[in-house]
Amino acid sequence: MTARPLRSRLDFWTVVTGLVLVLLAILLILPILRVLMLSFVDADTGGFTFGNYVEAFTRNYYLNGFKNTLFVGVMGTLGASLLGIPLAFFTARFHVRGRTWISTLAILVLVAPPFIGAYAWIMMLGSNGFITNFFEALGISIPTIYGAHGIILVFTLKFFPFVFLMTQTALNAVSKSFEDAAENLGCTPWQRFRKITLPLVFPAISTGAIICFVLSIADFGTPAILGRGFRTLSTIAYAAYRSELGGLPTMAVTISIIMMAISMLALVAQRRILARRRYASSLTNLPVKVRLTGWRNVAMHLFCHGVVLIAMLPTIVVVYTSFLDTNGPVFTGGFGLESYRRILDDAPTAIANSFLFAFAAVVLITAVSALVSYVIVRRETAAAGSIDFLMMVPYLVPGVVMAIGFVTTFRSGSFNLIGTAGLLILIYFIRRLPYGVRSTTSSLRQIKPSLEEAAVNLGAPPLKAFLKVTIPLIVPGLVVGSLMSFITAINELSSTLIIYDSGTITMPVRIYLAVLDGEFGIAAALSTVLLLCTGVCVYAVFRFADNRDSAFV
Amino acid sequence: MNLKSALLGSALAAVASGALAETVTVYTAVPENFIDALVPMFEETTGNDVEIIKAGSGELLNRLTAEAGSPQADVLWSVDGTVIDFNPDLFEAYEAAGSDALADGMRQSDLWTPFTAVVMAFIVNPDQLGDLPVPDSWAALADPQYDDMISSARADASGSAYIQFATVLQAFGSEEEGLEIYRDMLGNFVLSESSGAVPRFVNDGELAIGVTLEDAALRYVEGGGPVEIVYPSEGTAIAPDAMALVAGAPNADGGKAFIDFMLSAEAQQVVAEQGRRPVRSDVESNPALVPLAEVNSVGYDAAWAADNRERLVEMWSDMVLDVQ
Repeated sequence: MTARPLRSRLDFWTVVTGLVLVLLAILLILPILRVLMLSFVDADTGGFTFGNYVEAFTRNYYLNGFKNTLFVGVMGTLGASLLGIPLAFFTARFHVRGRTWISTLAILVLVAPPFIGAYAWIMMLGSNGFITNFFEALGISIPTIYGAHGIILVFTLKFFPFVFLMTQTALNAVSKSFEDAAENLGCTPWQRFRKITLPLVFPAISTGAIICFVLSIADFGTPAILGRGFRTLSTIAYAAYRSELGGLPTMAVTISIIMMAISMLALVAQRRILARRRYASSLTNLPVKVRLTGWRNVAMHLFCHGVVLIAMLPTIVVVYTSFLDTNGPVFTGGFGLESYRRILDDAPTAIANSFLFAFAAVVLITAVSALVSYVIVRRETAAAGSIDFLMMVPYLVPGVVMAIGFVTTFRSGSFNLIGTAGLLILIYFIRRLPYGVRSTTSSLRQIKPSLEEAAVNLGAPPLKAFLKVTIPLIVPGLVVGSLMSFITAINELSSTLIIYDSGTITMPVRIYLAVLDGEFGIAAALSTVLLLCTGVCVYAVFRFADNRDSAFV
Repeated sequence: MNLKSALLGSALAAVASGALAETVTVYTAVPENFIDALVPMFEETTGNDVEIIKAGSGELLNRLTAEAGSPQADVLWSVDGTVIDFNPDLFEAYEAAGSDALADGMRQSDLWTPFTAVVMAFIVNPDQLGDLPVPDSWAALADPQYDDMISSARADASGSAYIQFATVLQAFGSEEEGLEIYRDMLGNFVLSESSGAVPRFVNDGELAIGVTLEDAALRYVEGGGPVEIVYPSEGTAIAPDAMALVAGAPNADGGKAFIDFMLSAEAQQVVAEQGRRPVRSDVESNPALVPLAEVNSVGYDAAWAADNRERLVEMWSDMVLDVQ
């Protein structure tokens, strides 16, 4: 940007930058600092202490949780990469029948409602699961889903779409010239893949892997249900929070802070590795898809379709379960709509709330992310840089931490004016804002600033130029970002569970409570309804998005 | 949906409910089937609206403590009475209409009114036991042959699991003797995040034995599940679960009406249908259950359980670090 007189630096956009920083300070930094402080409080005396951290790093119970968390986090990420990278490579480099179908299923896996999936796995692979029993009948004894291996399996199948979609997008943007050059110099296909293609798409792979890692560490439902004796930090933190004696949740908070620190370290490590290797690649020579023949072709198709179908299995089981006839909590074997009849009474409130809160949050997200992305892309100031960095933070903070921070900050003193519905909308807003900003930012990067400059030169004030010129140009990015935020907001469970009160119950909370009661029929029916709502939104994203796969990560 | 009108609508609704104060806000740990059967009845009879917040009793207590400055709830419904006795400042004494019809031994505290009598029992899925015998006593559950076969909730997060823990401590000659048995039981347990999931796991054949509430087990038996109810031979807890008025309740009158209704003969009849033991002497138990007189009772001492709650839960939390 060219040098300008000082007066114009204090213009509209400087004010916006300041306001955004204030907003992030109040809604993001303040709550996190409150939680951080809580971890240094002695639960009995209320005084300052390092004791919580000393306890967390000396007691075997916590240390084992720490080791277990790292183990399933790393293995789950590894598994997700082992599925995601080949899948991306096949669909990007070879002719695969039903490519759109594969991408659609992968995206549906990403947006499937949380928590119920682990129970679906129990119905399949538990001690009395139908797959277990099927093999038993054949005389083959297979291990049950319980334990570390089950958690890793579920993480692998739940999170591989992140690696797949990001790698696929990157592969499609690699210039074929590099690969051709390697081939001409005598590389075997495997050497070419390992030495040329893989390094070029490494930034995308590692970003996808980091997302898997962060989500695996924060995931509570899967280890809680499948872990049996195997505890991770997230289940330990939650058990500490739920303890019945009341008092300050200092230990729960301390464990959560440690989880956050692990995620943060992983992210910093990834950024340092990426900073050392940068490859520029201009898209002059689009990759050409190869047609495989014979057994290789069959094997590739089996792999691609097999992976997404297996990953969809839990969702299919949930929908199937919702149509089973029930007698009280027991499935009687036939089909029926009893579960739907039982949710008829109170589901409408939960559905209305879910939509209202998610929609209100998305309206805010859309407005703010348009402004924020303009600041990030067009203003290369230190403030803009710090906003860009702060947009990473909501990804790293577990929902429970954010919610405890919100409650301790905004339910006391001068902030106490915000009602529960307002609080939920604000927490959805801040936690899902990065999705909107990410999508809008990439949209804005493709638009030259000359158009806005022309408007300003012709005498339009900055706000008018922004509204009349910039906004219409980034509408696709805004729409995709909004839908993404909406889908993730309507499925939010971990913070809602801590904040909601009478009259503000949401669908994921209803599902969670039904699962706790052992009412799987009700949980399945509610999940199917939520899935349907989300499915409609996914379809809408497809209609609006230019690049449908990358819109979701 | 039109957001503006929806927002306006909910704002108006909030104002209206504040002005008329006809909504009764109830925090509860009761299973869903009781809510479905009883709350619409109450709404119809009294014309009040009910808002339900359902969670584990630990979470509910955290909420009540956090809201003590400006209470949001009117009634805490169906939790272990010791939870209430343990936090007397959060509640207000109230003598419900119909307290004179309570069966003997049910009224244990001035602070709360009994809602039902909870009977602790085992739910057993014989198909999953293999060649092992059906356990018929607390001591049998401590046998290492049942390692990782028994589902139980956490005594630090579930009121019923705390009662079960306190029952074992009372069922043997001394607390130390009971503790020894319980420690071995805990070693065999697969801990569940909620008490409601315990009979589910056993019914679905994921685990063979569950320590649970008699009525929760009965729902699976009546539903046709492959499970049976077993009562421990040393004796079990027949403990009232409690409902209490929240101190400073925004709609105290509505809260009192709610408690009165739950103690009425017609509500207690529904309680019996759902498989819980009614607390009124003039309402019979569910005929599908063993008559209460035939169940061996330890004479559960709820006052002792309340007085020792903090010590026992800390002991449990410590024990879990060692044996699990």
